[in-house]
Amino acid sequence: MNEIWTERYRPKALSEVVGQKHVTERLEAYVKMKNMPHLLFTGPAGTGKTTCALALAKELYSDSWKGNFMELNASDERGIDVVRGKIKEFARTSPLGGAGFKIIFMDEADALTTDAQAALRRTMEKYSRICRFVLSCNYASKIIDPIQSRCAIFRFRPLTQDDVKGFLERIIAAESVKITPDAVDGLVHVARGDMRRAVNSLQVAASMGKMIDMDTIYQSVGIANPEEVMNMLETAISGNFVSARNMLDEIMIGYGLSGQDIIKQIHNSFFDLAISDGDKVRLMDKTGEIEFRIIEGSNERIQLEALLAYLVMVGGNNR
Amino acid sequence: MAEDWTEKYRPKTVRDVVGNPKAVSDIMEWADDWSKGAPKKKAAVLMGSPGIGKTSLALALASEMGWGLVEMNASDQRTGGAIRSVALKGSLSNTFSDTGEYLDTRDGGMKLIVLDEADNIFGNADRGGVPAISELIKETKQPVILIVNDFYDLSRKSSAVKNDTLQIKFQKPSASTVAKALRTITENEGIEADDLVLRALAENAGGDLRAAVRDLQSVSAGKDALSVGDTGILSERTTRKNMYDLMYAVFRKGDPVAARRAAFDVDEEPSYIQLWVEENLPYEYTDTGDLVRGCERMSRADIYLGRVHRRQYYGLWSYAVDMMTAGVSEARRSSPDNRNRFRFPSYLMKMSRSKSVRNMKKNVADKLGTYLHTSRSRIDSDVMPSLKAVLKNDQGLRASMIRDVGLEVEELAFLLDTGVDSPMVKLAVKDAEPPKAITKSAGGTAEGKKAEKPKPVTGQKSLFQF
Repeated sequence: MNEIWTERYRPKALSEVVGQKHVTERLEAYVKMKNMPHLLFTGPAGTGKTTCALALAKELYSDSWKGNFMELNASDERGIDVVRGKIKEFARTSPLGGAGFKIIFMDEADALTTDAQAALRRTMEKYSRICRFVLSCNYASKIIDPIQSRCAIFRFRPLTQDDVKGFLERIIAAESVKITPDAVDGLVHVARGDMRRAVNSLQVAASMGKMIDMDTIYQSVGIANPEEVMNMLETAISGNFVSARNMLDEIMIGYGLSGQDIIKQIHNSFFDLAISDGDKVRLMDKTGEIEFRIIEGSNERIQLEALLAYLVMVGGNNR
Repeated sequence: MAEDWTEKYRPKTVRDVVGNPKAVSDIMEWADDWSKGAPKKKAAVLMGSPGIGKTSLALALASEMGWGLVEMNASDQRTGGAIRSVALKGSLSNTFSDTGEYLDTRDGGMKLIVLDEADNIFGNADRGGVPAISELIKETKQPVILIVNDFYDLSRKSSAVKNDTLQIKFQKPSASTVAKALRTITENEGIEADDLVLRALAENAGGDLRAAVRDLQSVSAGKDALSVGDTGILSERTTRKNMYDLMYAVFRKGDPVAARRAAFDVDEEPSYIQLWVEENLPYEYTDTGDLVRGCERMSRADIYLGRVHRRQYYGLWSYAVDMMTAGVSEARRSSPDNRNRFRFPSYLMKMSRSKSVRNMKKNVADKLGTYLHTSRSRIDSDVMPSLKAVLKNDQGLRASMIRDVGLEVEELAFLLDTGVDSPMVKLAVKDAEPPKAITKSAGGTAEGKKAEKPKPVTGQKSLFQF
């Protein structure tokens, strides 16, 4: 009976969480005290923030954890009013199973604007008797000071290669995956400390149904980075702006990738382009400027098109 | 001259309806079928843009066939109950004729039920309207006509509308057809009108006959002759014509100040102008230098728009518009090619075409996000590509999508890029059911292959259980 491995092998208890001992020890102390302040989890993707929040809830509430724990995702909810509405609804009933408080876990809290965070701060205060908030974000600096000062801050470290490798090997044994040792190292390398990515890549490679070697790894990593982005860049470099723009629309509308997702992938892939090193460096700078403009502007496509036009020019210089 | 010409000159018979001979003959055929007993498709949908004679045709049809009329439009409170009580009851039993006479269906008095502006049936006030319409279409004993501007929108909400209706498309009449219709009116009103004037009115209305008639009435108020100068007081009706003018000013006129001025005249939001300029830029600026400079100006314009949104400070709007008009105009170094036609923003069309796919994707991402404790955007960027790849090879995971993640059959088929009745999907549905016997071998990739062996003999049956 197969499942998505990132879920199947998600640690159920705090003690099973990999590579964040400094965090889990303090969280276990909260479980013992049956009390905790508001928490702020910060750290890169795939290091265990959500896993720790879930494990914390399970250990605090055991069987009644689902009724006492609410997940919100700041980047999915439309506006702070929706968030407040859900919080109000959740906080209306008292905690189940004799617990002293409920937990509201807000993932990607740094997706909230400063104004929304200010509103969230007031909401946190209003319900603090009944609810504890666990906020999760990539960068603490994106969270306003008044919220930071009300939270105990937990910094999640990027996972070491050994952490990732050890965890992958447990899955490899449990699923009896056939894989060469250097392929395991390859997986660890491409994951860059992101456990979710490592496990996803492993599952992709395993689903190909043969002995996994470095080639399989490259293939499976290629799947995770759709080659459409690369195709689009190459089309622009070859001078065909209109086709490149159609591909951009396809990626944004068809794949549903955001401008920021796309620019990150562009950033990862332009070293493979057939242009001079000088152009690569200028392109780096331009890409950074475009990412900044995406954040600052209103229409991501317009900004990415400016980058495509720039690529048409760079391509012209290199032809 | 108190009478409204759009009512006064509304066609009295089906033959008077301007243009659209095919639509007219289709609807007549359908009406004839009704006089011989209920046809297979009991409802007809008239679709097309505003002011081209859809309602007129329905009304003319009723009077020509000697049918009574039950009419509802968007200004009525169209809840399901209202539709049921008026339309369905009216159609199943009795009603009044348009002269107020009481008619009984059994006496042979048939009644045409007209739901005008049927595509406006959404939102809270019209709750339940769509199911009621579907029911009406299937059960009515009387002819039903739905009138819509946007057929797609309504058909998406109701498969009965999509499958059980006769669909009749209305084309916009050409400017010369409209001008001819205007000519009939001026002759009847005893107004002497220059051909050029009528032609200008017709073109200005952009295929909207009703608008043309209304304009004619307003420009000829109190006059018995119309000359070229009289149309100047009209504001242009169609934005599209204006947008084409603006595109000309931006890309080909070679005068940045005039381009900026043209933007004032169009009276459209900057984000809409942005779409137009963006669409046409690469076709107009085929020289690489022009293209790069033009895109850079667009990029700067967009930053101003972003700042407007973020700070709610609309004072910056004018800079955005300046950059996308004067700025883009000034970016040209090569000389323009006047042969190309300007294009309507393809992005808008792509977005509307991909609407159902995007909805499906969003639902899938929501379910996966809940299951995997993460956001939709992360599902889109990190999970979706690898998940699709694994699903192609892993039968066990396909079943898990239905059983654990709670995907619908269509949603799984969407992820697999196959139809809902493909073997992969059928087998997944079967496997997702609670196991009755022993579940051998846990985990492993070999399992997927083993599970595929027994052919899904009962696949058909299990599909129905969904």
